[in-house]
Amino acid sequence: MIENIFKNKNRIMLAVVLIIIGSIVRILLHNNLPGSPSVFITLNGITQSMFMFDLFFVVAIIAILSGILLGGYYTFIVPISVMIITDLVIGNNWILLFTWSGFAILGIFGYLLKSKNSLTVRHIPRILGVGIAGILIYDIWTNFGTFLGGWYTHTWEGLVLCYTKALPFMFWHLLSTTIAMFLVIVPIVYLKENKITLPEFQIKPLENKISIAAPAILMILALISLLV
Amino acid sequence: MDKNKRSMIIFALKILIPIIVVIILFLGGINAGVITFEKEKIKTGDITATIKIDFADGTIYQNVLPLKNATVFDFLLEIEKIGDIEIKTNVESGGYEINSINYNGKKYVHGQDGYWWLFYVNEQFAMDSADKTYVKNNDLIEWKYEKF
Repeated sequence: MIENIFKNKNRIMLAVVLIIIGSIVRILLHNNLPGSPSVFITLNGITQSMFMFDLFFVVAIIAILSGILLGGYYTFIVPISVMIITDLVIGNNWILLFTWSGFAILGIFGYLLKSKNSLTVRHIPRILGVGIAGILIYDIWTNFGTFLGGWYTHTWEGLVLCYTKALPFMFWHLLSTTIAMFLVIVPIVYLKENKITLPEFQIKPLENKISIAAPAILMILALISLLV
Repeated sequence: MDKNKRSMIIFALKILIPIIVVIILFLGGINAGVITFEKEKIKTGDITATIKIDFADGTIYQNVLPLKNATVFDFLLEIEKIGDIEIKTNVESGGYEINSINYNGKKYVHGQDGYWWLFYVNEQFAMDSADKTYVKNNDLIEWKYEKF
């Protein structure tokens, strides 16, 4: 099926496949996450589990893949569709615009990798580095949303506390998504160089501009949502 | 050394060096006591704390209770023991989660109509579950039924 989609360069079908895979995996794993392991970290006088498991890596990989394989509008349409579908089942709160815009940023990172011709085995360290940078930006942004949202006092201490409390999530995001990139993206890059040809879709300059502007617009909407 | 071999070594180093750095940081953290494998047993001794429950409909419950080595969850259980409220809980992977709180014959269900039970200690939102958050003397525990 995937081979046919690649052959026919059917962009919408490939996007639908990614959305279905992401949604099914996120929903299926939702209630099957193990408890936090017995590894604790003490920073800033706060002891907490070092890793707090969540399913960030599922949507993150789908977002990066949508950037690499589809590009353009799909860099944000695919991850946000996965989030909308699964949030209807799992639930979300006011932070949703922050998480959605965060995943759109990851999609753009995937797209940038493709447009800079970095999808080669030689560039695997760069791919992983860009992925890690994307995760860090996602965490900095979404936790800033948590801070602004009113769970913490709006002081320097509140900000430090917010980011300290978020460390177990960030460590898990970095670990799980790096492993997922090794398992999903690296083999795709290898296959691209050796066996398969990734579809090349024509992306018009306007689509290019809109897809890059989309995460910024979502970020602004996220900030506005806190004021409303 | 030929060019191919050199670029292979550089490629391997670009992957291996970050992994080695992470391992060194992790081992360094263990050595410095920042990373541990057993959570420190907290003994807070005799404490008195204020517990406030905001039911979001204008109803507010408040009490000052003395307890020993108690978590936020223990304080809630103590109010139930007194007979002021009735609580139902679920055991989630991360710890206990409030299912509902009954007060004055009214049931406030976690997640119903977009309202969720969240707690704050000294006005700071707590990321740990209530049974893992220890209370210190004179702390203010606030349970809020908040809409998202």
